[in-house]
Amino acid sequence: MEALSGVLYGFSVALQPLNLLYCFFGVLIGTLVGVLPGLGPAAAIALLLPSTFHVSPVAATIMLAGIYYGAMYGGSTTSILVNIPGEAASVVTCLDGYKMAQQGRAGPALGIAAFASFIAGTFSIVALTFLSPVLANLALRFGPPEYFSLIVLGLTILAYLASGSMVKALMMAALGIILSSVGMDIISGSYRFTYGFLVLSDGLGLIPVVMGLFGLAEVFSNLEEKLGREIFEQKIKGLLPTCQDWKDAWGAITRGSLLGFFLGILPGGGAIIASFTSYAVEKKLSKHPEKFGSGVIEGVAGPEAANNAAAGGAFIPLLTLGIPANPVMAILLGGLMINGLQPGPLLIKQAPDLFWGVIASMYLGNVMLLILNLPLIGIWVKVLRIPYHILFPLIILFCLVSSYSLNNNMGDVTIMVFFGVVGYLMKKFGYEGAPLILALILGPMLEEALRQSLIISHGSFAVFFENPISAGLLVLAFSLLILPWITHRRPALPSDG
Amino acid sequence: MKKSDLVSSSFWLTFSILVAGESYRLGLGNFRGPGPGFLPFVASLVLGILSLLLMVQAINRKGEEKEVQEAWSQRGNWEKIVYTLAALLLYLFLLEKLGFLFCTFLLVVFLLRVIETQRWPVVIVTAFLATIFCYILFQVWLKIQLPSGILGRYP
Repeated sequence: MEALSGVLYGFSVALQPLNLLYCFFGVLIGTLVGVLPGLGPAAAIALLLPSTFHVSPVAATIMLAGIYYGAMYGGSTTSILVNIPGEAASVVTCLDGYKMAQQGRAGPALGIAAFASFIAGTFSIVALTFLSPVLANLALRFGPPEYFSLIVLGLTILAYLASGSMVKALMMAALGIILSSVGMDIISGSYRFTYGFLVLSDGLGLIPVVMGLFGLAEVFSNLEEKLGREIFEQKIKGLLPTCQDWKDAWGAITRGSLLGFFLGILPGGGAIIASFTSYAVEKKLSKHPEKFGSGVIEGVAGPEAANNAAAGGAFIPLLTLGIPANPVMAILLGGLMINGLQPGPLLIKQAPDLFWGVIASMYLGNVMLLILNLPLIGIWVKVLRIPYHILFPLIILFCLVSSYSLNNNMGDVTIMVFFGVVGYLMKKFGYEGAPLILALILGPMLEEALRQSLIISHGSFAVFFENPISAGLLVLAFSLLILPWITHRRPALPSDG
Repeated sequence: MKKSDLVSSSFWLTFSILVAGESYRLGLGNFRGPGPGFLPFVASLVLGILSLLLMVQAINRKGEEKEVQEAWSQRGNWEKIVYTLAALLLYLFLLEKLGFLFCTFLLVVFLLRVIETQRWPVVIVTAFLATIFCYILFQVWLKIQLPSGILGRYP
């Protein structure tokens, strides 16, 4: 069993004291990011990426991954206690979670959220362990045409699942591709769109753009809106759900885990969509759908399971295909590439310590998170009381210094501030950042795959349709584009902030 | 969103035309050997067509003006954003001249006092701690050379 020996080897890597420590840092920061509104996992990981340059890529990736799935745990705490989602994947948890808290059942709500997260998180890592070697083997047969079609499909799915207008999401994807072409053209060696700016010659850095769009822009929006928060002033007791709670929640957790995992794998899918879909499914299947929104435990358990399972599933396309499923994975990909590693089907052979070490660390991280989020919940409730006016100068400061530290120059800081303003305006005009980020990192891959395919085929576009896998992917992408025009409906999802 | 969609779609349409022109200048190549301008040209075409589509959608839509009013009516705090942005630009400009410690301290003081109107003791203490924290984290621990300025050896 490749997977079994692999994961055992992974544990030998992940249990090394330094890696274990970084895993703990990761999940701790992740929970913190989840608890604090105004800073999502994408911005947090971008902020902390430069600080990992001096450690091994394995430790760095273990920590950054920990932030991502850790945020899924922490996000539920604010949803339940404050009715403000700490990050976007916990928006639905507010609906029933906060109601439960108002009815004096904050304890069981927090408890079931943590347990559901743990069960689903572990499930998705088991699935990740066994599925990824198989997929990596399959992906070895992918040539440039398959990659081209896969990337097109990924961007299309993202636009299809986008919260607002699909046209706008596709526009942002196109913009991302344009922005990704800034810098030196790898094939001809000529400079594109640099206009003499030295900082642009290596291309537009993903990290400063993410910090701007998801970090600084968020601060601008919050400054404008004036965050008012009322913290639930009640002693939290009875964190362990009762037998009846478990009976009610069990089905929701199981369905949420499966659903979340498969939505997580989809390029363009992810935790946010997973949590909303799970809530909708639970409501539909429930014997008492009218009670949803009034504090039912299934409404907390399902989405919390789904977003954690999705967080695990999202690693599959990154580790096996080298294609990020969401902005967070895009930053992880950027981080790996800075360390000279190219995620993709060869990663499992070229860097088995990283591949298996990260997967194994996620088992350990989930156990740590369960401990952090149940017995130590009191600490996070205290963290919630940090006022935003103390928080926002720190977020701004971190964005500034962190983007400076990327290359020790002001160019990246300027890019960060510029995209902070762009991101704020995008929010105002109803555009999402996620398709832009994904296209920005996928752009160079898309271009290479396209140009190589055309060179192989001597300029014939038929190459994308003669190959069955590539043709299938493109047909799927095309039908997703056409579908909303025929049916006039699309799953409605709120913004991912 | 009618009005705001019209504004943004016109902007992107103009932008896409500019990019298409620049891409053409870079050289499109041919299908056998696509040039450096090929992908940005295609992407700008897509962006342009979608902008037109959005524009048409916006023109055909009616009776949603209320929504726009709401989205833009909470502009009560927009000064805060302008001031914050101005402070950030000044920070960018001065950072390498005056050094990290000095500029950072001033920036946090400004943000806390002018943007958030905190009491002076809170402002000074927070700004001091935040600056020292960043200094220790980045300069001492992560060994990132922060810009030093008038203070000479010290950033």
